[in-house]
Amino acid sequence: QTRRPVVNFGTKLLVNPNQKANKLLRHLRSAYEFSADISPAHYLMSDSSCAVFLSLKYHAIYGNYIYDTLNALRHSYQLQVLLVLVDHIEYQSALKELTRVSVRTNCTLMLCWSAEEAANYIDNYRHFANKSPDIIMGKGGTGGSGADTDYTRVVDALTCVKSINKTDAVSLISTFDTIDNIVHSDDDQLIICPGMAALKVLSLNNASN
Amino acid sequence: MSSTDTPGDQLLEFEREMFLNVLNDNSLTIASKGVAIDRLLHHLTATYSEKTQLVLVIGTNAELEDYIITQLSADTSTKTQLVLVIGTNAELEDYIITQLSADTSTVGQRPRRLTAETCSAADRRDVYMNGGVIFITARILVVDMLTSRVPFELVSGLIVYNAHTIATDCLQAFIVRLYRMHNKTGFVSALSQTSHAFIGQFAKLDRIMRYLFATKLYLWPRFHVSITESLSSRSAPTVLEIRLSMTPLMKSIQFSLMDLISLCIKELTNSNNSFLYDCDELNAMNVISLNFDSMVKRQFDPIWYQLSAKCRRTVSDIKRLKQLLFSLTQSDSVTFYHEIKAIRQSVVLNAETSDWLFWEPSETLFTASKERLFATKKGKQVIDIEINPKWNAFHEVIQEIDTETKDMCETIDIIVIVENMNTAVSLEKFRDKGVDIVLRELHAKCELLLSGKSETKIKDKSKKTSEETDENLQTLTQLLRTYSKCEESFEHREHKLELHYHNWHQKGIHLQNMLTVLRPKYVILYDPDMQSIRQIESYQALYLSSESVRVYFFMYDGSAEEQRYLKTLHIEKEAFETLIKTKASLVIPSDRDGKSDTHPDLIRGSDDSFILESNPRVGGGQTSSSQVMPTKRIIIDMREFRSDLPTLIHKRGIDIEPMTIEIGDYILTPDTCVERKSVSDLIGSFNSGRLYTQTEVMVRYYKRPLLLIEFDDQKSFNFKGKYWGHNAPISGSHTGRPNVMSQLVVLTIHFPLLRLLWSPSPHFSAEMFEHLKQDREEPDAKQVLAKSNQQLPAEYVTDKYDIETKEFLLCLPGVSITNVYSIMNSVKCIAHLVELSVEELTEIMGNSLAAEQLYRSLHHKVVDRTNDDMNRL
Repeated sequence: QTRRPVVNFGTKLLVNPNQKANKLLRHLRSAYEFSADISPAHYLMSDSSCAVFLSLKYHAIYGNYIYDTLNALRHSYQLQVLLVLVDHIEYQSALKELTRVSVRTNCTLMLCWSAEEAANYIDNYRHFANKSPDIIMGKGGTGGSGADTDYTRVVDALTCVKSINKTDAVSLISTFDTIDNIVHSDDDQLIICPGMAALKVLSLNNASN
Repeated sequence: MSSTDTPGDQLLEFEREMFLNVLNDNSLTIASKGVAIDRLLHHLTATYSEKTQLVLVIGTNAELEDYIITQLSADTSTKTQLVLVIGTNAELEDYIITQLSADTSTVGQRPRRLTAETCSAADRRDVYMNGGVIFITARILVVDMLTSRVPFELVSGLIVYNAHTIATDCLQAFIVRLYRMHNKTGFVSALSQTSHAFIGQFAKLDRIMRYLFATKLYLWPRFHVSITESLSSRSAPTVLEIRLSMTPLMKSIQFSLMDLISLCIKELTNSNNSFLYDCDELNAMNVISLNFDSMVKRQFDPIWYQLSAKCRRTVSDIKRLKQLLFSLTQSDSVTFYHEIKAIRQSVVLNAETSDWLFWEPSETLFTASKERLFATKKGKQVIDIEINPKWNAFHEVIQEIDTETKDMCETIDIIVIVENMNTAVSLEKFRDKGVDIVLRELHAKCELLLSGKSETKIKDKSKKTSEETDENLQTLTQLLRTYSKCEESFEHREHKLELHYHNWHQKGIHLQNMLTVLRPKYVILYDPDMQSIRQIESYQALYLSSESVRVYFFMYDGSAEEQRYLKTLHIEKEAFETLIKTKASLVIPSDRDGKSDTHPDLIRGSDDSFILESNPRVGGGQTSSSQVMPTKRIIIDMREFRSDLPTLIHKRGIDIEPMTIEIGDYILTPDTCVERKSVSDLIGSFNSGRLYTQTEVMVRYYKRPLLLIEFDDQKSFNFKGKYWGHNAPISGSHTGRPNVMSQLVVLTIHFPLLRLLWSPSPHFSAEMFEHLKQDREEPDAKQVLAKSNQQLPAEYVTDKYDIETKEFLLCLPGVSITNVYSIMNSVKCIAHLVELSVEELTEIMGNSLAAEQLYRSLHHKVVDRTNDDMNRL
């Protein structure tokens, strides 16, 4: 029904003028400008993602509002975020309702507990709009994040073994230098390493076998 | 029942009383540590080992099971019953099973153990049908119960061992509930030795009893009249207390450690004053004597993610300091110094640096622990090692026993009880080699430390020792002279005294087994332990009527060790006093046993359907609405049974089908798949990249993929916390780890089809699941399996990969989610991996750069660059 609003998306975040009174604007760190063109969406973070803001207090009074907005929005954008501000103590029943709504209308439900947090979400969406998903690809991903040295990664690897904590891992490495040596050492030698209880020795050997 | 030929099969008076109480009744028995619970289980198992009974036991361990099984096989019981035992551990099970199977003339059913390894799913039905006592893991039992493999009507009883775990382990509670729903006649008897686990929360005892459907509560504290009478009517063991005093240096180290701990605690409480509901509990004395982990958990669990990084660091500092405090009395001075030195060396000057290193007492700590090794004579440092006083005392005791038993020709068995294996290793070495060699070795270690070399290659050390002896010949010969006498006396009679070590990590049954097998006359309690003492006591009462076992009890005066020992005694006593008081006012509803249908816990379905189903006036002719509706079903991954959610889903009246599924955790409808993440899971799987891959697969195979984020409304998390990106810079924080909010945002940007379910409690999740299933098709197990088998890349299908190893590999440079499976397919073990050359690795990984990275991380010395900076400072 509704066609996608034609908006020339610039460098700034676009905000629906009906959000003027929203406290989250105060906390926004991205530059933004008002544009009525993006209606019914409230915030336009990139040309494929938008957000609709809803406060539970408001929802309690105007129960139909969110349905109307989402109906008008339909599937205009690839990603439609329903940003819900939980500002009501009795939020559980509303949350149930909104979860169902979001599943039905293909919205991504996000919860926040303060205006500041809400602003943070919008900023994050704006910031990561066209970024690669590196930060959730994990350690094995691209391997290029500069902060991780070989040292920290070997320590991390050792702590993956159950019952070895970081201190143990550090002392293991300082005693044996390389994983090669650790693997090829027998129990008696491992025991000498400070802080390694017999149990830990056992589990380390199990992981390496 | 069991034969009374051997005294071990006899029950002491109080044990008989316990046994008769428990028999065929729905009861919860709580006994003091070391008081006969294992023996009680043993006799219960013996009684129910008949073909006509089926008793399931959960919560035991393999050791206990083995013990009971062996014990009973030696018996001459002719009966068969099926008893299910849960919650035991492997050792216990082994013990029982071996005990039982030694019995030759038995016609009855021997107890069996069911684990994933011992029995295939298809055979299990037959096992149940055969009757007898079955030790079973909770995971298997719940699956078998849900798939109706367990013949409920035949089960005569369920024994829950370690019953206190039911408060946190929802799986066990689920089992008991399922059992009660389908079986109204059998008994549930619950046994526990951890009295303090039943107090501390509001109505905890009542709640646990409700979970267990227990109508009776039996308390058996050590000070119970029957126990004291039974034990005092027999001869008691002779206890020789050996009180050692610590050396002045040890004392000053202990003081400084205690100071540091109190300072850390002060810091912790000051910064979190508003959060802590029980500040009094956090004091240095409690911290050293109690289980600090569980204390921290109790205090901080509701706010853990809101704590600043500094607080969390302080918590781990306290743990570390506590560890040091105990290694002061346990290990030798050189090892202790080495440990301290390692801490000092690993200091990195950044936000993660522990504060206590810069506080005043830590200076005393460092100097004092150094002084234990080096004495300054005429301005020169001379090695003068302070030997652990306990070692000397231990040596003396051994010699005393040795001279005493000179005339006897058989070997004398002595049981030595130590806290951990390290102590046993060093004691053994001490005895084997004699004082001087041990000293010489320590000396050599000192030399290494002094010369500033960190002892890198332990293999080379022995060589080094011999080389360096020349240089220190002077001191060593002096030492040799002093200790040569002791050594001589040792070498001659070394074979006569046989020392058997028992450490605390081995479960109580290990000691009991050793005592019954070896029948020792001497026991050395090197590290004091309450449970061991009581076991020795009952061993004395059972087996030795004329003579008494001699117990040497080692303890440092005024040490943390002593404090801890006294505290455990105190805690147990207090717990029992509270339990006795609670028992007096305990109200047990008449339908508690769950044998009628009206028990609220047994009713399934949401509120409205419940009325229809349970209304007795709905006659057979009418069809109630619940009958019209097809039964709802959710397929749940087996690994998910650790959480509450399956239980709650079941309680809502939705059937659950346990399966091993690769994609998602819950399959609600043919195209709805849910991945459940608790907040800590969420953080972890974001950082490891697991969630990304999981979502990727979910999106590919299901039309409606859902991510369920479980935050606890009351506990642990709410998003106001600092951890959740409050004030966090957008592009990841300065610590290098991006914050969770950004990660979640990125996830939704990349998978716009992924729906999020936010749930404040498992109840909420269960309700949401029911809503999402409304008016939709039921999931089909075959389809689900087909999905994972046909279309998925091979690596997702099988479960044969060890998760720990996979995580380990994934952490290493060069290894990524794309090549980890090919590595795991072609490399047998990590020992094999380090053998491979760069070329071979390239071939396996298909990328020379990554292969090189991996090779480097495995074989080259990894250096902490930040540490270098520190050294330069």
